[in-house]
Amino acid sequence: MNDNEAIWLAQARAGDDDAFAHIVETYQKPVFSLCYRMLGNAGDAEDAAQETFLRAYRHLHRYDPNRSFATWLLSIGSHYCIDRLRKRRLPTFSVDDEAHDWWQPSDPSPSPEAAMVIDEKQLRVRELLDVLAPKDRAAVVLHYWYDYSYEEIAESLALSESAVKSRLYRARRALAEGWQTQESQMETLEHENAERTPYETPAF
Amino acid sequence: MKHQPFENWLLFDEPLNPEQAQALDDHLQVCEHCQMLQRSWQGVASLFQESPDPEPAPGFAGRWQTRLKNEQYGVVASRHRWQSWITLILIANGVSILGVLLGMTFFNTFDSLTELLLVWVYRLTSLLTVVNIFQNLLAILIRTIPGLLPPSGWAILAGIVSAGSLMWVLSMARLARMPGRA
Repeated sequence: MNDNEAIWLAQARAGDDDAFAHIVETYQKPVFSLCYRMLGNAGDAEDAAQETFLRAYRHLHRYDPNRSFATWLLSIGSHYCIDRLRKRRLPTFSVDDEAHDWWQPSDPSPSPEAAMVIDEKQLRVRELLDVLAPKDRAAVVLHYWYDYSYEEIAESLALSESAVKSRLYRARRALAEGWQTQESQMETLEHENAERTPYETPAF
Repeated sequence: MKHQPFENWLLFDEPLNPEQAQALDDHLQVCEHCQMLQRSWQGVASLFQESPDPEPAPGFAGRWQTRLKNEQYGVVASRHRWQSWITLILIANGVSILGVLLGMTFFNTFDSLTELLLVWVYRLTSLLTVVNIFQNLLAILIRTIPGLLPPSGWAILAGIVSAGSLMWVLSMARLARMPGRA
């Protein structure tokens, strides 16, 4: 945490909303990204990220300045997303979310091919993560996108380190199996396309 | 073919000692199942690395501030609603207790309903007698007061009262227009 953040946090604790808005500005990307990986669509991720910051603001008096603020914030976000996933009775999937409304690329004009490749990868990641249980999913997201150690994940998700290791082991196995399923589906699709093409091309 | 401990070594993602690494290499040379598992996990890991970090739409912090204000307003409105309900319930309780106490007093004072009705009729008659006395007094005043002053005196008195009223209305209007007053 830099000096500015410490000052903003102190001001926010004294009831200054604008100071906390600076904190929101600073941490919006990691929190949104976590919520997106956890929930799988931009609308839910926006709502969950906003709620995460509201909860952090309301419980700011509980934050221990000796701990990392980012870890504390992402822990709130993880727990909120886990609760939301548990409340979902059926998996939701919106076709509208396929548009990259969440994606702000560094290059403002990516080629259609590049955008398609990114969308495809994003979709594969989402499908893979969807097979995991909420806490396993949170552990995977924190480990692979935030480089959290087992200890930090354990602290964030209120688990023991050995529980984190076993959850990650189980998740890796499920992800590898999911990958194999995706690969075989893609092979089948390519095979079908290759067989169909000779009968469909004469019109062109 | 046995796949343990090789599957664990592949999936636990922890460093292996040289003997374990050699044993895993040897096993992977001959085991298609474990080769597939290794390839699949490597594919997942590289997909995670290549997948771009999503970002929120611009104006996220502004939307958060709006949401915070809405929530704070909602909390205040809800608190006011609760305070109103509590006040209403307290008043209703007070009125009920008062009603019960009055009822008990009446029933303790009077032995029967007939006696109670007679008392109320007596009180009503007394009230009507008092009103009648005031009416007579007023009639006497109306007949005697006009003779106290000549007509010109009454005109001057009416003028003074009208002028006083007009000044009062004007001063109130000026006060209302002064800055800092709603």
